[in-house]
Amino acid sequence: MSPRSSLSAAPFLAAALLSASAIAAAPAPFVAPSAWMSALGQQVLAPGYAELARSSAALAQGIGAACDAPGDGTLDAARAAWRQTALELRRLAALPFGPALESRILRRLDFWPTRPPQIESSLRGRAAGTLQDERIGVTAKGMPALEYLLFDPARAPLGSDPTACRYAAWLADDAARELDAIQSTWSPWVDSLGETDPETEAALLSDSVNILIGGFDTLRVKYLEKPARKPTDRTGFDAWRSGGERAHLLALFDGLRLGLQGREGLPGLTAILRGRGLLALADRLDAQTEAVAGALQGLPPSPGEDGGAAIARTVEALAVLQGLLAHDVAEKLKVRVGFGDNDGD
Amino acid sequence: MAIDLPRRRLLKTLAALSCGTPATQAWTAVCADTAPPSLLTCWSDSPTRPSEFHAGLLGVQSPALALPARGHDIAWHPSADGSAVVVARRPGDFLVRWHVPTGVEVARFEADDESRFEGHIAFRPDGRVLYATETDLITGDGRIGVFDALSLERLDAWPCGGVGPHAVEWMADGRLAVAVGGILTLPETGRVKRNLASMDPSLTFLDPGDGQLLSQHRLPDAFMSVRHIAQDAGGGVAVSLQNEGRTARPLFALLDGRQLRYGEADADLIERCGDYAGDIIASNGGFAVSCTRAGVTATWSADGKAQAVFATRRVCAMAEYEKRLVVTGDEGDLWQLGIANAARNEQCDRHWQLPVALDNHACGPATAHA
Repeated sequence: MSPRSSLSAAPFLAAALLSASAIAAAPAPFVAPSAWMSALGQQVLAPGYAELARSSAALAQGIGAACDAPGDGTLDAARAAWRQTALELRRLAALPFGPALESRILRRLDFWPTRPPQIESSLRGRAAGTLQDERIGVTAKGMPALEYLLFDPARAPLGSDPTACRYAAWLADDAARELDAIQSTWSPWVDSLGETDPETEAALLSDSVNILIGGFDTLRVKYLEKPARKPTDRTGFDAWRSGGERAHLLALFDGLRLGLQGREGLPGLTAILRGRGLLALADRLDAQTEAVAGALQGLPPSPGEDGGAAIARTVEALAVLQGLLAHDVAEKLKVRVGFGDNDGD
Repeated sequence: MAIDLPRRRLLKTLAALSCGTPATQAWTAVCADTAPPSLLTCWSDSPTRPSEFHAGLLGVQSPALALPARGHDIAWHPSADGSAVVVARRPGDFLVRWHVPTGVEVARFEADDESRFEGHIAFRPDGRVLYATETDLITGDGRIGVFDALSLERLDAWPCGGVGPHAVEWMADGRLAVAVGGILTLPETGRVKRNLASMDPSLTFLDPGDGQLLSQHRLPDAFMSVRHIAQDAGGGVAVSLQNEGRTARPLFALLDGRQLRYGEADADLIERCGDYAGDIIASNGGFAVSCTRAGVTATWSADGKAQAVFATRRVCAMAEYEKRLVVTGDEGDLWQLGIANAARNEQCDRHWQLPVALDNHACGPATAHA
């Protein structure tokens, strides 16, 4: 570049710098908790649960086909359908807001760890007519129970066990029915967010922050710390039977991250913070979220077998992130944390 | 490499020996000429940002049990075999029995997605059955978990008459009393209270054989959460309360026939006690209530009249030790109170300081340690 051209570019450079500076200094738009929840409901949760209902119905059909025509092909198709459905569920499980919280749907579809004796007892009782459908409890239902029936290496294949196969098809169908039943509740919930008073906004913010803290606590303790207490034993890890341990951890984190950081056109908690001028705190959250993402990416596909050090790094990174939320964010947003170790009885 | 159970227990013991004992032995006598009472209790390393949690005996050479999170209620096993049981603070997932003199874990139950513990336990006097307050995570209903008191295997679970149970106590007449707090919380939102506008607290009595609801008793105000229970030598039953409303009320009530009746106190005393009681104990022919946030211990007569108030900052746990009332606070304070002849007496007879955050409940020495 010649001196002349350099000189002639100076005004443009200065303008560009000024413009960048102006952008950096511009206050972020204020985001009300109701706007955050409304966007999440419309863009993520309502369509996500609709898709999950469809996937569950397809899973029921796939298992039905495997029951009608036992063979590797139909079983593989049913297993593929389970993998897709279970990952969708795991992403949504990170964000139990609105109807998902009130209906307890996730508790009914996602009981973990599985209790194989109860599943076996329920499927035999149902086949014998001694156990009515409505008396089959959540401990013998849901996606993890289906994984046991479809993938457990110590169990007879579904194709050779028609009783278990029919039970599995019913479980998937039951999940689809449960999911269908809440579809109509999303729209009224989103509508209700349009008319909020300050007290409701504060309650929404409290719930939302606590739900995110609870989600990170679940990822850290339930899905990493507890299973890792048995070194070299992978059977405590979510989705171990299908070999999906790492994928499930990442899916849960993806969901949490969406709630925390949002995406283009969808605010997250960090947008709430920036809208209140808490830019440095939002930046710290972003940085720690990246640290967690990096740690999770460093996990081997089957963390229970050879992931001890990587699990420890991930748990540590998650603990720091959870601490940021539970202490710094909660304090700045004046949210009372329901997961603290320093209050009440 | 798999670690066999005895080796794992040994490692746990060594870990406890290395990190659990010294802190609680490093007491300071603020106003006392003896060692502090050797209470069985839980503690953590900080009252505000705790990260290490233990259960064990205070002030004596005894290894502590490392816990994964804060413990809450704690009790010697009735068999007097030297073991004790500790349950997680609500919402919690562990129930552990361990041999206190050695710190060796004997049995453990970990709750899964079906239920969580609500912080308190009670033994059947024969030491064969343990009851624990729980919440069903699917329905949100409160219940009493029934466990083998030695192995901690679950035997059953019964409804307890409402949501948010907290304390459970064995009554002298063989009934089981449950403090049903009436406050709904969900696992997704931790301890956030979700139904303050419609809470329904009560004191319920269950048949300890089959869980049948025998009776249910309420206060005039639905905003007073029933949290803890005590029974005096004469059979009188009293409860301590937490105020979720905006109207001042006593934090103490007696069961009077079918009704719970507030203790009698003037407005000044009610105000001094604040809105949060952490524990209650029958002591010296009456009752004592720890008012944690207000930082006072209030004593009440057996017929429900306010007696004395002691300044005891951040007080919570209460126990009897050598026939004297002992209370502790989460800033490490331990007081032995002389309340026999107290009348608005704010003097504490003895006071020690420990470098740990003492937790909400404690019990005195066991009758024998094997």
